[in-house]
Amino acid sequence: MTPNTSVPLSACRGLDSLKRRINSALALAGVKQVNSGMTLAFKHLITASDGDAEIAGKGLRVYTVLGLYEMGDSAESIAENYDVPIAAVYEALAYAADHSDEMEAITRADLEAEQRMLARMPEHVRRMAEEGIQEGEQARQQAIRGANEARRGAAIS
Amino acid sequence: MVPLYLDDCFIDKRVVRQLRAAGHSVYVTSELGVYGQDDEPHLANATRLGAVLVSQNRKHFEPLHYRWETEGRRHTGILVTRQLPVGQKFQWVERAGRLLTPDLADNQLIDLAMFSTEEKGLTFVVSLAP
Repeated sequence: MTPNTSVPLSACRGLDSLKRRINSALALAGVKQVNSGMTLAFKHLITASDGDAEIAGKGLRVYTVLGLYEMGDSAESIAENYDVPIAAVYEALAYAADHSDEMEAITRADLEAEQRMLARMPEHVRRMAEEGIQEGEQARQQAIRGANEARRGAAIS
Repeated sequence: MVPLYLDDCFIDKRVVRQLRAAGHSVYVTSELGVYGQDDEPHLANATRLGAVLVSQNRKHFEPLHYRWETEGRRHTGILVTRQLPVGQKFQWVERAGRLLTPDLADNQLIDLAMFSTEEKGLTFVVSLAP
Protein backbone atom coordinates (compact mmCIF):
# COMPACT_ATOMS: atom_id res chain seq x y z
CA MET A 1 0.00 0.00 0.00
CA THR A 2 1.40 3.39 -0.99
CA PRO A 3 1.34 5.82 1.92
CA ASN A 4 -0.99 8.72 1.25
CA THR A 5 -0.65 11.87 3.30
CA SER A 6 -4.39 12.52 3.22
CA VAL A 7 -5.05 9.24 5.09
CA PRO A 8 -4.60 9.54 8.87
CA LEU A 9 -1.96 7.19 10.23
CA SER A 10 -4.54 5.51 12.45
CA ALA A 11 -6.30 4.30 9.34
CA CYS A 12 -3.26 2.31 8.38
CA ARG A 13 -4.15 -1.25 9.38
CA GLY A 14 -0.56 -2.48 9.37
CA LEU A 15 0.50 0.15 11.86
CA ASP A 16 -2.49 -0.53 14.08
CA SER A 17 -1.78 -4.21 14.24
CA LEU A 18 1.90 -3.50 14.96
CA LYS A 19 0.86 -1.19 17.80
CA ARG A 20 -1.46 -3.85 19.21
CA ARG A 21 1.31 -6.42 19.13
CA ILE A 22 3.78 -4.05 20.82
CA ASN A 23 1.19 -3.12 23.45
CA SER A 24 0.42 -6.75 24.28
CA ALA A 25 4.14 -7.48 24.53
CA LEU A 26 4.50 -4.48 26.85
CA ALA A 27 1.53 -5.67 28.91
CA LEU A 28 3.14 -9.10 29.25
CA ALA A 29 6.32 -7.38 30.44
CA GLY A 30 4.28 -5.41 32.96
CA VAL A 31 4.92 -2.08 31.29
CA LYS A 32 2.12 0.48 31.51
CA GLN A 33 0.80 1.42 28.09
CA VAL A 34 0.66 4.91 26.78
CA ASN A 35 -2.10 5.38 24.27
CA SER A 36 -0.92 8.64 22.79
CA GLY A 37 1.32 6.92 20.26
CA MET A 38 4.64 5.23 19.82
CA THR A 39 7.86 6.90 20.85
CA LEU A 40 9.94 7.92 17.87
CA ALA A 41 13.50 6.66 17.81
CA PHE A 42 16.58 8.69 16.90
CA LYS A 43 17.53 7.98 13.34
CA HIS A 44 21.05 9.42 13.15
CA LEU A 45 22.49 8.46 16.53
CA ILE A 46 24.18 5.32 17.74
CA THR A 47 25.97 4.30 20.90
CA ALA A 48 29.59 3.66 19.96
CA SER A 49 31.42 0.60 21.29
CA ASP A 50 32.99 2.85 23.93
CA GLY A 51 29.56 3.87 25.23
CA ASP A 52 29.35 7.47 23.99
CA ALA A 53 26.40 8.53 21.83
CA GLU A 54 27.58 9.66 18.40
CA ILE A 55 26.34 10.44 14.92
CA ALA A 56 26.18 7.14 13.05
CA GLY A 57 29.02 6.51 10.63
CA LYS A 58 30.67 9.84 11.39
CA GLY A 59 32.18 9.29 14.82
CA LEU A 60 31.16 12.81 15.82
CA ARG A 61 30.11 12.56 19.45
CA VAL A 62 26.94 14.13 20.79
CA TYR A 63 29.16 15.60 23.50
CA THR A 64 31.24 17.41 20.88
CA VAL A 65 28.15 18.73 19.08
CA LEU A 66 26.83 20.06 22.40
CA GLY A 67 30.17 21.74 23.13
CA LEU A 68 30.28 23.41 19.72
CA TYR A 69 26.70 24.62 20.07
CA GLU A 70 27.33 25.97 23.57
CA MET A 71 30.34 27.93 22.29
CA GLY A 72 28.20 29.63 19.67
CA ASP A 73 28.18 27.45 16.55
CA SER A 74 24.77 27.22 14.92
CA ALA A 75 23.38 23.81 13.97
CA GLU A 76 23.95 24.81 10.33
CA SER A 77 27.60 25.64 10.99
CA ILE A 78 28.19 22.30 12.76
CA ALA A 79 26.54 20.40 9.88
CA GLU A 80 28.69 22.28 7.36
CA ASN A 81 32.03 22.08 9.20
CA TYR A 82 31.73 18.43 10.25
CA ASP A 83 29.99 17.11 7.12
CA VAL A 84 26.95 15.72 8.89
CA PRO A 85 23.25 16.11 8.04
CA ILE A 86 21.55 19.03 9.77
CA ALA A 87 18.92 16.62 11.13
CA ALA A 88 21.70 14.67 12.86
CA VAL A 89 22.88 17.85 14.57
CA TYR A 90 19.38 18.62 15.86
CA GLU A 91 18.99 15.03 17.04
CA ALA A 92 22.33 15.25 18.84
CA LEU A 93 21.26 18.46 20.58
CA ALA A 94 17.91 16.95 21.55
CA TYR A 95 19.67 13.87 22.90
CA ALA A 96 22.14 15.99 24.87
CA ALA A 97 19.32 18.07 26.38
CA ASP A 98 17.58 14.88 27.48
CA HIS A 99 20.73 13.22 28.83
CA SER A 100 22.52 15.89 30.81
CA ASP A 101 23.71 13.26 33.33
CA GLU A 102 25.46 11.40 30.54
CA MET A 103 27.07 14.62 29.26
CA GLU A 104 28.25 15.55 32.76
CA ALA A 105 29.69 12.05 33.24
CA ILE A 106 31.83 12.55 30.11
CA THR A 107 33.10 15.89 31.45
CA ARG A 108 33.95 14.23 34.78
CA ALA A 109 35.77 11.33 33.12
CA ASP A 110 37.77 13.76 30.94
CA LEU A 111 38.71 15.81 34.01
CA GLU A 112 39.79 12.69 35.91
CA ALA A 113 42.02 11.70 33.00
CA GLU A 114 43.39 15.25 32.96
CA GLN A 115 44.20 15.00 36.69
CA ARG A 116 46.03 11.72 36.12
CA MET A 117 48.09 13.34 33.36
CA LEU A 118 48.92 16.38 35.50
CA ALA A 119 49.92 14.16 38.43
CA ARG A 120 52.59 12.47 36.31
CA MET A 121 54.19 15.71 35.11
CA PRO A 122 57.31 17.24 36.66
CA GLU A 123 56.42 20.28 38.75
CA HIS A 124 57.46 23.01 36.25
CA VAL A 125 55.72 21.27 33.35
CA ARG A 126 52.58 20.82 35.42
CA ARG A 127 52.45 24.52 36.20
CA MET A 128 52.63 25.34 32.49
CA ALA A 129 49.92 22.81 31.70
CA GLU A 130 47.63 24.19 34.40
CA GLU A 131 48.12 27.72 33.11
CA GLY A 132 47.32 26.67 29.57
CA ILE A 133 44.26 24.72 30.68
CA GLN A 134 43.03 27.82 32.53
CA GLU A 135 43.54 30.00 29.45
CA GLY A 136 41.58 27.55 27.33
CA GLU A 137 38.83 27.32 29.91
CA GLN A 138 38.52 31.11 30.07
CA ALA A 139 38.29 31.30 26.28
CA ARG A 140 35.61 28.60 26.31
CA GLN A 141 33.59 30.30 29.05
CA GLN A 142 33.82 33.60 27.22
CA ALA A 143 32.56 31.99 24.02
CA ILE A 144 29.67 30.41 25.96
CA ARG A 145 28.72 33.74 27.54
CA GLY A 146 28.84 35.45 24.14
CA ALA A 147 26.69 32.73 22.59
CA ASN A 148 24.14 32.93 25.41
CA GLU A 149 23.86 36.70 25.05
CA ALA A 150 23.53 36.49 21.27
CA ARG A 151 20.83 33.80 21.53
CA ARG A 152 18.91 35.67 24.18
CA GLY A 153 19.09 38.81 22.05
CA ALA A 154 17.86 36.97 19.00
CA ALA A 155 14.92 35.57 20.95
CA ILE A 156 13.78 39.03 22.08
CA SER A 157 14.08 40.93 18.80
CA MET B 1 57.24 20.13 12.30
CA VAL B 2 55.07 17.00 12.57
CA PRO B 3 52.16 15.74 10.45
CA LEU B 4 48.83 15.97 12.28
CA TYR B 5 46.04 13.41 12.36
CA LEU B 6 42.73 14.95 13.44
CA ASP B 7 40.19 12.55 14.93
CA ASP B 8 36.45 12.53 14.17
CA CYS B 9 35.64 15.15 16.76
CA PHE B 10 38.44 17.47 15.64
CA ILE B 11 37.98 17.58 11.89
CA ASP B 12 36.39 21.02 11.81
CA LYS B 13 36.81 22.27 8.22
CA ARG B 14 37.70 25.75 9.47
CA VAL B 15 40.62 24.32 11.46
CA VAL B 16 41.75 22.01 8.66
CA ARG B 17 41.65 24.81 6.07
CA GLN B 18 43.69 27.15 8.26
CA LEU B 19 46.23 24.49 9.20
CA ARG B 20 46.81 23.61 5.55
CA ALA B 21 47.06 27.28 4.62
CA ALA B 22 49.78 27.56 7.30
CA GLY B 23 51.70 24.78 5.55
CA HIS B 24 50.87 21.83 7.81
CA SER B 25 50.46 18.29 6.66
CA VAL B 26 47.02 17.32 7.98
CA TYR B 27 45.35 13.92 7.86
CA VAL B 28 41.60 14.03 8.31
CA THR B 29 39.60 10.92 9.16
CA SER B 30 36.81 11.89 6.76
CA GLU B 31 39.23 12.19 3.84
CA LEU B 32 41.02 8.95 4.73
CA GLY B 33 37.69 7.14 4.64
CA VAL B 34 38.08 6.02 8.25
CA TYR B 35 35.26 8.14 9.60
CA GLY B 36 33.52 6.69 12.65
CA GLN B 37 36.13 4.12 13.60
CA ASP B 38 36.97 3.33 17.20
CA ASP B 39 39.82 5.18 18.87
CA GLU B 40 42.35 2.38 18.69
CA PRO B 41 42.33 2.02 14.87
CA HIS B 42 42.72 5.80 14.69
CA LEU B 43 45.86 5.64 16.81
CA ALA B 44 47.16 2.78 14.67
CA ASN B 45 46.42 4.78 11.49
CA ALA B 46 48.13 7.88 12.83
CA THR B 47 51.16 5.83 13.82
CA ARG B 48 51.35 4.16 10.40
CA LEU B 49 51.32 7.66 8.87
CA GLY B 50 53.90 8.94 11.36
CA ALA B 51 51.48 11.63 12.51
CA VAL B 52 50.54 13.06 15.88
CA LEU B 53 46.92 12.27 16.73
CA VAL B 54 44.86 15.22 17.98
CA SER B 55 41.72 14.54 20.02
CA GLN B 56 39.32 16.03 22.55
CA ASN B 57 38.56 12.56 23.83
CA ARG B 58 40.93 12.48 26.76
CA LYS B 59 39.02 9.88 28.75
CA HIS B 60 39.74 7.37 25.97
CA PHE B 61 43.17 8.28 24.71
CA GLU B 62 44.79 8.65 28.13
CA PRO B 63 44.02 5.05 29.15
CA LEU B 64 44.79 3.83 25.62
CA HIS B 65 48.27 5.39 25.79
CA TYR B 66 49.06 3.51 29.02
CA ARG B 67 47.54 0.26 27.76
CA TRP B 68 49.74 0.39 24.68
CA GLU B 69 52.71 1.10 26.92
CA THR B 70 52.07 -2.02 29.00
CA GLU B 71 51.56 -4.02 25.80
CA GLY B 72 54.88 -2.73 24.48
CA ARG B 73 53.23 -0.94 21.54
CA ARG B 74 54.46 2.46 20.43
CA HIS B 75 52.70 5.38 18.76
CA THR B 76 53.91 8.58 17.10
CA GLY B 77 52.35 10.99 19.61
CA ILE B 78 48.96 11.98 21.04
CA LEU B 79 47.76 15.52 21.75
CA VAL B 80 44.66 15.79 23.93
CA THR B 81 42.70 18.84 24.94
CA ARG B 82 39.58 20.10 26.61
CA GLN B 83 36.93 21.58 24.34
CA LEU B 84 38.15 24.88 22.89
CA PRO B 85 36.68 27.65 20.76
CA VAL B 86 37.63 27.24 17.10
CA GLY B 87 40.21 30.07 17.27
CA GLN B 88 42.23 28.46 20.07
CA LYS B 89 41.80 25.05 18.48
CA PHE B 90 43.58 26.26 15.37
CA GLN B 91 46.24 28.38 17.13
CA TRP B 92 47.25 25.74 19.64
CA VAL B 93 47.32 22.83 17.19
CA GLU B 94 49.21 24.97 14.66
CA ARG B 95 51.82 25.79 17.30
CA ALA B 96 52.13 22.18 18.44
CA GLY B 97 52.49 20.95 14.85
CA ARG B 98 55.16 23.57 14.14
CA LEU B 99 57.22 23.22 17.35
CA LEU B 100 57.14 19.44 17.78
CA THR B 101 59.38 17.10 15.82
CA PRO B 102 58.69 13.40 15.17
CA ASP B 103 61.50 12.49 17.60
CA LEU B 104 60.14 14.67 20.40
CA ALA B 105 56.53 13.57 19.93
CA ASP B 106 57.37 9.89 19.63
CA ASN B 107 55.26 7.82 22.06
CA GLN B 108 54.31 10.93 24.08
CA LEU B 109 50.89 11.74 25.53
CA ILE B 110 50.78 15.54 25.54
CA ASP B 111 48.29 18.11 26.80
CA LEU B 112 47.61 20.60 23.97
CA ALA B 113 47.46 23.31 26.66
CA MET B 114 51.29 23.18 26.62
CA PHE B 115 50.99 25.13 23.40
CA SER B 116 48.63 27.88 24.57
CA THR B 117 51.41 30.44 24.02
CA GLU B 118 54.58 30.47 21.91
CA GLU B 119 56.80 30.83 24.96
CA LYS B 120 55.15 27.96 26.79
CA GLY B 121 55.32 25.77 23.70
CA LEU B 122 59.05 26.43 23.26
CA THR B 123 59.81 25.77 26.93
CA PHE B 124 57.82 22.56 26.81
CA VAL B 125 59.50 21.31 23.65
CA VAL B 126 62.91 21.89 25.26
CA SER B 127 61.78 19.89 28.29
CA LEU B 128 60.95 16.94 26.01
CA ALA B 129 64.47 16.81 24.56
CA PRO B 130 66.61 14.02 26.02
